[in-house]
Amino acid sequence: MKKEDITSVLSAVNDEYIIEAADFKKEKTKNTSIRDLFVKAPLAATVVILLLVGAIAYTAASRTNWSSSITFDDGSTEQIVESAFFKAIPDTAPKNKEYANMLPMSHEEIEAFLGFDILHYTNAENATVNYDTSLNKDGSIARVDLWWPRIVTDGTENGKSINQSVYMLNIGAEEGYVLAFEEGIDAMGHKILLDKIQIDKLDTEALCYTAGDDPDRISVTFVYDNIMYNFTGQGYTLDEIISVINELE
Amino acid sequence: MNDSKIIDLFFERSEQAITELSEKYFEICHRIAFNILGNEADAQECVNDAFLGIWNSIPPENPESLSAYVFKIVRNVSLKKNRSNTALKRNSRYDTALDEIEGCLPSGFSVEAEINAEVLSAEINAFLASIGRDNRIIFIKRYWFGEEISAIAEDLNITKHNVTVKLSRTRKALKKHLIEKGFDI
Repeated sequence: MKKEDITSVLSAVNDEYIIEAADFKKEKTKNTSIRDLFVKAPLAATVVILLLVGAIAYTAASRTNWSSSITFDDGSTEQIVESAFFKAIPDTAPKNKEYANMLPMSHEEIEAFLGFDILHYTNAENATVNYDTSLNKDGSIARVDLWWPRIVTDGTENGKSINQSVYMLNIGAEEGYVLAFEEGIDAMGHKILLDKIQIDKLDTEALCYTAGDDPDRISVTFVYDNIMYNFTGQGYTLDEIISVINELE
Repeated sequence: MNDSKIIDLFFERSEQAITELSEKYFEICHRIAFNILGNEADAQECVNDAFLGIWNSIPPENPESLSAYVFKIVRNVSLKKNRSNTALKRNSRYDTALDEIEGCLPSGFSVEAEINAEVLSAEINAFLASIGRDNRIIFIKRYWFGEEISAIAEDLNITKHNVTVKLSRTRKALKKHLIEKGFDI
């Protein structure tokens, strides 16, 4: 895409987002004045920081499992999983830095180097899985994300599709990555809970929800074998998405 | 002075309108122009041209949001100037930001097909509505205002690395969103 075209497309960004971004510094300035209070009371700030560091270090050291939940528009929170374990991702698994592009691979390749199974839809229309890692400060893998777009489509270009995302935490993942899971890996906002469905075949419960501003977009999220799966359908019914999940192997 | 009062001054054809507009918005307008052009003299010239354009357009225009209206005109004038500068091989740092985002927008896509541009813009707006506020602000600051990573980090009181990672994740999420919507990337 030509740069002129990119700038032209971006020119149509909603006014409210432009104003929001332009005004943001002012809001932060107010926050800075709160921080100034700490500067005036260095002893109190030091004590607070030490307590926080201690608490985080203690929590990180004691982590053997993780949980995850989703907060919905009405303020309610539903747990996806109460307690799951970290996966043992081999050190030899490929790494890509967070600001690099995802690595396109096949499902078989990924299972081969991970050394465990990833649920997949055998009739997937697209063979390319996008592989992505997040790294700890020491360069080891903290988190692996897989994104398998358009596993089901209606064969047209109209955007109707079901897409699969996979998320897993490695043993030794730093606290920030664990917290991101706990707060919910799905960054899309305005979620409305549709249903909680028991997937008998996988012996797990799935949360089914829709985007408040796009009712045609339905997501189903669940955890199986300590791996989080998310199936998002655009233009497909919840029943159609569940029937794909029931055929996973 | 609030924006509606400034617009009233424009409608009264009072030159005080430009004084008030400049007092309130010159700094950010200059920053937008400088981010795109990377050149002090060009940025100053573009802001002046933009303010003249606003004087000539209000009335009859009566913008709902004066700030967004002003920022858009400054940006458009600056982009136009940047294009002529680029033809003279004077690349700006804004080109770096555009290089970053190029990979998550449709390839072989041209806004010449106006309907395509409208659909793509609508999808980008839908995506921006769906992501968290901080990520949206960072995205707009980088790709609309052309802010440097270090300036965004300072505004949000986070590290440059954190800004880079957040932008990277947002670009990936945008790419996913557009592919899911049927765009060929």
